[in-house]
Amino acid sequence: MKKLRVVILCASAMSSGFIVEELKKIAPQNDVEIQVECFASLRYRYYDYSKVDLVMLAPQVKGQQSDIRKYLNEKGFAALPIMLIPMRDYGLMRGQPILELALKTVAENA
Amino acid sequence: MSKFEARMDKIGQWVEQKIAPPLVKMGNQRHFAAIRAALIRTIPLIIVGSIPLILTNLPVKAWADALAPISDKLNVLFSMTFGFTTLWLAISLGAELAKMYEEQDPTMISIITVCSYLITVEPIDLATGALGTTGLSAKGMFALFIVGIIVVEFMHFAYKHNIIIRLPKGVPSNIAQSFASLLPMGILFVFFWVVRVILGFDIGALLNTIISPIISASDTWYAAFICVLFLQLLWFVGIHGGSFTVWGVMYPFLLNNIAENAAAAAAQQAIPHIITEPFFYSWTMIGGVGITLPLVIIWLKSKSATLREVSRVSLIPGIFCINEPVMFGTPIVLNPIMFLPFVFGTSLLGTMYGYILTKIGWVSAAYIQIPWTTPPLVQPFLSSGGDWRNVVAQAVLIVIMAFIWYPFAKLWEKRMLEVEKADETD
Repeated sequence: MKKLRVVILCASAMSSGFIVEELKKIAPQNDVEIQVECFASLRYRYYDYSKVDLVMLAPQVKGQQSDIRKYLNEKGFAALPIMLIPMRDYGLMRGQPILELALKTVAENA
Repeated sequence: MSKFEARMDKIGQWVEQKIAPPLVKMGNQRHFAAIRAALIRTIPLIIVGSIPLILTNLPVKAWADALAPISDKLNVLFSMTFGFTTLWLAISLGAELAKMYEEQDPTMISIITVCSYLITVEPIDLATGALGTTGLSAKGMFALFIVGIIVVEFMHFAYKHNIIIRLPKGVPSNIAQSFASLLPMGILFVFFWVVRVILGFDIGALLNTIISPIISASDTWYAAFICVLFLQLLWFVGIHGGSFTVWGVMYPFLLNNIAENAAAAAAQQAIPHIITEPFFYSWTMIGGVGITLPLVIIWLKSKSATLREVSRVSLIPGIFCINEPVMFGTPIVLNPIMFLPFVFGTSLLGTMYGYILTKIGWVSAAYIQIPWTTPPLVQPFLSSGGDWRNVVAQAVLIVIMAFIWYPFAKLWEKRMLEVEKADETD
């Protein structure tokens, strides 16, 4: 079983809550053991990134990507990948394509 | 893509590249972001503080009469929560501003901010032993922002330039920390004391004079219009527009307005302000930003399988005014066909509709703060203190919006069907 620890940064952490549930539901079917939680994107400086293998950004906060990348690099997390969740998959809460993209992103950055 | 869509697409790109980035940058400015975070933390307190108002202003005469004997006591509960907004905000703001600087302790900065604010705006009258309360209400917010920023910036400056008492290394860290803060804290208190008590300079009164015209300006149809225009433009490019508009720049004014409305309602006087946070919920965010609920309903029985899925996934969240599914699922975001209705056809029209109806007295202005996720039809009833006319007006608006969405919904459905047919034949 692959292990994957993810944090989803989102504006209201309400819509991403659905994504968290979807990912937890389909992870076992993909032979993945997943730890996933959402966190308010505006407070990205107050999260402990040593807990995760991947940072996912909800589409409506993609404007913060460069700030977050800079912050992560400064704090010694230059190797931690940031993944933008594709818009339609996010909106329709399609866990499968999001999980596949996550696994691909982590593999490419290993 | 038709010529119409191409033109809309160009406008969308222009918004994404030229309009959104400066707004987002402004909104992410540290102090502004701290103020926003501090305000958001007080929202539940204000909602709870509105409950006594619901009870003292029940639309049913029999219940209102039954509660009349304790209405004064209910007003105490209202006054000490909602009525002291700025006092509670001072605690919240101190903590949020402190987080900008690693070396500052949020609790300590909260304490210094509250104390500095009281010294500056409501110093104690030793003859009567009383503190004034005007400065504790939402009115004092703007003076608080200034005091709060001075406090945290000076504390940071002091620590950076060693204007602190450094105890020897062996001393436990919390004792060392409290001693370190002593000197700059003392300087701050003396400063504010001199300004207010010795020089008699009332920053609260000064800011009231400066802010008053801005507050009056915030309560106009054009302020609401501009606010909603930016809200819609930002959301159209997929950015959470509310953080920078309604819950950003406008929020202190909306809070001030509803606080004054609530105080007026508690005193059984006429409600002064039209533009409040619930105003936007009632007339511009039905089912989510951009009045998307009618659109979701239109697509429930769509010929397009994709749009049926969008509608199915969006319906329940939409009832709670969460519309990310339909925004990103359709998508409405960056979709040239959706540009006209979403940016200009829905919320802006709703703003004018709500404003005019309130101005001519056909619906009530809101004075009760409730969560933004309160469903349509329920929300206008509660926030207006039980005025059924608000519910009827919102229902009519929903129908009007369905007519406005319809042609664009059909056009997008046509596109979706073409894409689905092309996928099938592949």
